[in-house]
Amino acid sequence: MRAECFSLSVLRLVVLALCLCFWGAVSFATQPGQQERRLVSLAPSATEWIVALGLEGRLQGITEQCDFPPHIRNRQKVGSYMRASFERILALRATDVVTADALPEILRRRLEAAGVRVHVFAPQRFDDFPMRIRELGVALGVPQAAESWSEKFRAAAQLSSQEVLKSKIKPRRSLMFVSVDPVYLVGHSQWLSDLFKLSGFENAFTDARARDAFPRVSLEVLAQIDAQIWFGFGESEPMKASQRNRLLLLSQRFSRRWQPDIRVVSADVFQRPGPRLLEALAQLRSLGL
Amino acid sequence: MRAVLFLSLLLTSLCALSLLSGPATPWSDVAQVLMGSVAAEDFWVQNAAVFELRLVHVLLAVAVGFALASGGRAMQLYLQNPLADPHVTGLSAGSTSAVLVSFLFFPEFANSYLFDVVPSVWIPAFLGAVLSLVVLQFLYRTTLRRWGVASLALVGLLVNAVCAAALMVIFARLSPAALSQVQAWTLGAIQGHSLTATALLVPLMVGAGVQLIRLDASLKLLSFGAEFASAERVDVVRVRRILLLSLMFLSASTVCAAGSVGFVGLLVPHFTRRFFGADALAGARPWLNAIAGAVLVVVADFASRTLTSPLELPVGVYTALLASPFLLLVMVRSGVAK
Repeated sequence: MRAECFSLSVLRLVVLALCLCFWGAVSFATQPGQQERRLVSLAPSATEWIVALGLEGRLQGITEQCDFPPHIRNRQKVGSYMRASFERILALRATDVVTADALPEILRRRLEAAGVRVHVFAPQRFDDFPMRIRELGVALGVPQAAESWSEKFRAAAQLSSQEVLKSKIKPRRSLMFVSVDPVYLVGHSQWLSDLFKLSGFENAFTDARARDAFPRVSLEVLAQIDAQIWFGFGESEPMKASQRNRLLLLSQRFSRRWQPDIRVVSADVFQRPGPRLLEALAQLRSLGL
Repeated sequence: MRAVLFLSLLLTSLCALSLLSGPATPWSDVAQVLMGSVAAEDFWVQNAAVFELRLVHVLLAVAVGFALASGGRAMQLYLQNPLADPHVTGLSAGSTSAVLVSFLFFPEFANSYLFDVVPSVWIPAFLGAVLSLVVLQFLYRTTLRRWGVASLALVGLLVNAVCAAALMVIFARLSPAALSQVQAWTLGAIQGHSLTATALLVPLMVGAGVQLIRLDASLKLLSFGAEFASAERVDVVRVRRILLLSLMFLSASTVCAAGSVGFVGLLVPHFTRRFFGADALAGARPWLNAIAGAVLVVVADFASRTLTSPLELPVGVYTALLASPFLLLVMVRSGVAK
């Protein structure tokens, strides 16, 4: 009787141990931090950061707009920048999603419920970049690479500020046109405005009421802003030529007041909050000083 | 006739207000000129560029309002449906879709100008409207016998649905930078065209509007049925053809001028019916309606340029804001009357 009780207790213990092992194995397997990271990018700048931080091998999916570095284009697509497919992200067994804008709430919740971590890389000002890069690096498990990039951004900003100070040239009043018709400008409280400021270009659109990142401005308001340089953005060489022509025609309509110098730069280098902003900063420095 | 005179005076005053005032020159500056404390000549020379910009806005607003209101009345008469407007035919949607397709597939072309004056996107805008008209005409003729005039609305619904689907696909594929441009075409915003380009567009819009006004009597007779209209010596086929052609020109030119502006064609005929009586003004009604349309769009444009300055909201936002409470009022009053 006693032996029977003993063997029953042993059996219970064995079953309990097995259950514990099974539970441990399952929870270990479903914990995103413990398994190999599988990354999906939902923005072109996010893709550039993933590659820059040395995580290209883990990048499983990108959006249709992700085009840099060029060899990345053949990766699986999970939709567009504006509309990513939840099913495709899950089909790629993603553990982490990196994006440049806040995701639609419903998609974010569904992703998190499925155990996918969402990282938003969206600095507001240029000064935010070093900290945000560090945070992204820590979140993706590559703190050292992130620290290196963070330091590069900090050093480049410092160098630019010092050069501008040394040159003693008065900052040139500039306008940055995201779009010409209708006119969308770069707002003064935006990292892109800071990037130009670091290079010796002052954003001439300083209206405190316009807090948007890219405010839409009427031509009448535009006619009142005196700026020495108008910057446009173009994705390709023909687009740059086309933007230059549009800006030229627009400036000629205000020709009685002033004639700005027109420069068109690469949209993808300048408008994405990605690692190539250092390149943009160098380009602007050569123009500004 | 008094009502036409009153609305014309109102429109003239609003145009003057819109020309004189704006974010660049506040009323205080204008008052100083009027009082003689600032030399008028200096003031005009200094602000010439700004006045030119405003003139373009005012001209386009008047023409867009005139055309859309006339189109709305014509469609409501023809379809015998108080909810009809020129957009019902799907011609505007076809035109807008073609513009967006050009932004997606030919961005260099869409961002260029013909002879440095005319935006190249006007070509796809007109081609889109023509293509939609061909489809509309074919389907309309096929289904006319079975469904009567209502088939125009049904076929228009179909064209609108296809275009809406196409727009969704295009929106999903455009880059964020291109989206900001495209938004102006879908929300309805008066474009900052040059004076030359404006001079090309305005006659098209006004011409289409006048043509629809001239059809007014025939459309009224048609509303009693094709047989009745034929008995009254109305060339039904010709009227239908002119109606669709005018709507095609109206849609393409208003899309080129201001994208897709909603509510004007729907609301203004109700407004004139409600506030200016029914039968007494029978002859002047279509003109009254067209002028009221111009008033609405000029007010909406002025609001879009000044209320949120330095930001500019699309004019379509204000036409919707101005129109919705009125439409609600008409619905509530109609409900109470019943």
